Amino acid sequence: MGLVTTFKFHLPNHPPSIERRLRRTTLVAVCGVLLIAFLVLDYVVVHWIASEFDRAQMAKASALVTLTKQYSDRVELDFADEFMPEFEAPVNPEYFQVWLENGDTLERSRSLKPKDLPRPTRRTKPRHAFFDLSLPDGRAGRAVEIVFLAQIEDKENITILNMPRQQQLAIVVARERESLDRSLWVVQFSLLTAVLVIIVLISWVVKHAVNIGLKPLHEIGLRMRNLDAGKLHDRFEIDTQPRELRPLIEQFNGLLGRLESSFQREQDFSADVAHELGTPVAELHSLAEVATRWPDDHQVLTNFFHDVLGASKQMQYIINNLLALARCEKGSFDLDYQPVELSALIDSAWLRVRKEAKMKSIRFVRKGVPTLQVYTSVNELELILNNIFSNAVAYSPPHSEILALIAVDGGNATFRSYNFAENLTHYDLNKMFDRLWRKDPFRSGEHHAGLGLPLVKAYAHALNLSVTVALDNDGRFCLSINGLKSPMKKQPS
Amino acid sequence: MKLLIVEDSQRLRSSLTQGLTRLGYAVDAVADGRNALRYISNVEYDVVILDIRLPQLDGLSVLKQMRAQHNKAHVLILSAKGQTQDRVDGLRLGADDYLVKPFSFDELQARIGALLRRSYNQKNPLVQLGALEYNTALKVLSHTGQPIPLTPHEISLFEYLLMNRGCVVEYAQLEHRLYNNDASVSRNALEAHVSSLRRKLKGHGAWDVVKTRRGFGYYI
Repeated sequence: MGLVTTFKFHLPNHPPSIERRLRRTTLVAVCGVLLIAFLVLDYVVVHWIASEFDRAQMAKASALVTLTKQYSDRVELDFADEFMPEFEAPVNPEYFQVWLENGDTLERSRSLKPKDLPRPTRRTKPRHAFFDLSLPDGRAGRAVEIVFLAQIEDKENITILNMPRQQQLAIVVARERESLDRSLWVVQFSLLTAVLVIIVLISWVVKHAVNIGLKPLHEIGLRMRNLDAGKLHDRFEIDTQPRELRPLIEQFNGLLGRLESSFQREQDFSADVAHELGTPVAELHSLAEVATRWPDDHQVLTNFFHDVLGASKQMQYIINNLLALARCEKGSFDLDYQPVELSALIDSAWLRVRKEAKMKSIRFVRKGVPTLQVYTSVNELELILNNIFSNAVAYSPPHSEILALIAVDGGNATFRSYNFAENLTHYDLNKMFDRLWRKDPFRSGEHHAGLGLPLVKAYAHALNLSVTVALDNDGRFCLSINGLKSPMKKQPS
Repeated sequence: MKLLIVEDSQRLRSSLTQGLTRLGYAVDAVADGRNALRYISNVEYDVVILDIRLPQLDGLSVLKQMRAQHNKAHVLILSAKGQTQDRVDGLRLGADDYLVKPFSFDELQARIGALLRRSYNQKNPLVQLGALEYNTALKVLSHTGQPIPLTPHEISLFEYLLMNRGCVVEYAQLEHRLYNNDASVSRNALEAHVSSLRRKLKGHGAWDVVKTRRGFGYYI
């Protein structure tokens, strides 16, 4: 079996770089323009040089024509060699030959000797034509042929009666064309060399110009490559960037800001989860070790089972809420829309926290529309209200008041909860829907883990409701659930 | 030896208190930073086990104020896994050691033992006293290789006298070091513990180890 060599061509999957594309496009365009310019210039210059060459040839031939004279009985060429020595020069001579109408040679240059010049056109009417030929000495040459009528001489002896018919003569004047060809070659070579040099120079200039133009983009790319999670606080300066890049940089800075917040939230979440779950785990660990070491110690065992149950319940509470949040965000539960009496649902939710509120001497007041039916999914709205009241009772100072308000605007109803919360700031309002966020940096207490308000927001989102928080002029925390629909309204899809 | 546990989790505080008390330490426990500072200002502790995240006043602030008051108690910081910077800050502020939650009770015991040995310039956990050998890490006293069964209070009493050997330890100092703040201890109870310790030592052939300086206290 023969050895088969396979060549594989790896084509790039990604488009060429902007730099390469700019350089290539610019070079192709410039080369195209230069090529057209070269062709036009070449045509004009070559044509002009050849025309000048032919014009000189024509002038010489015309001079010889003027020397040709017709008398009544003969035709003569009044040519003297000393005035046009080129026709008898021993080196690089020029040639001419004059023919009579009948084809006989009237005159030929001394340089021709007995040879004839070719006369290819054999024209019958007066006119001229240029053509290339091989000279008698073997060189390439160029000639002009003029067919003309001889001038009548001796006019005083010629009357209208004895005027002879003007003879139609032909003259061919030839000379070598190597000098012309050499000039044309030099001109064309010079032009082509100039074009090539210009292309090389332009490609160098284009390369550097593109590099200079793309430098800000390269710098941005380099900085972007060096970005990692620890440098997300870095921002690109906009004022120093080129105008074309500013919108891009603005968007990128915005994206960096969102990423930084997101990373911060992730880090906070991890630390908070570590603490919220770490504490009960540490409790269980310690309880189990102490009880294992002294299994017969009545004092150690007295609260052991109660404490283990408490720690387990705390973990279960956090995990259940995290799972509920995940389910809610995935939308993996069914909503059961039906008409619900909102005030009754509020009262029912308050009953669940009434005991804790009583222990802190917190008063509950419901105001606004006394009865109002809304079209919603009862279970989810109930969970929202339970979490709102549970939070309100937990963070309200003793002997304070929690106000629940139902307001109607058009066909939409709004539920608002007001309560005093110590040391709450506007900055906290932006953070309180983050998972596991707690105002208390030490995360003391085990009945709240910072998941109540994220759950409220997630359930509200599932019900197409919006949640807003604010601090009113009295410093009260206000949470609003907006967009509750009355049963007459079309149910949400 | 007297310890203070500052931990806001009631269950963890309670289990640590019970376990360490069972090991013979005199343990006080508080749930927040303000109370911790109050206890530290009024009582001389050998080791303070200090959680960083505390209500009212955080652990690092407690530590800072402790050191500002020239309190020399050893401080062992308790922190969660994600609080590396807090631990670094704690060590820079004068903490002696740290433990990451959740931790092993054995490790806590070992670290407390190491801190206490450091207090008494005792690098070796085995202390020889004639034919008596005391293991400070395992809290085991033996005579010619035979272990002597002692109660936590007796172990604590022996250990404190041993660490201060050659010096008379006053009755009040012993009461203060061996019992927690909530316990009301009479001189008779202390004497009963000393008497029981002497009896057990004598029973294993170790005569006249704990001596009395009338009107002052005890010494080894």
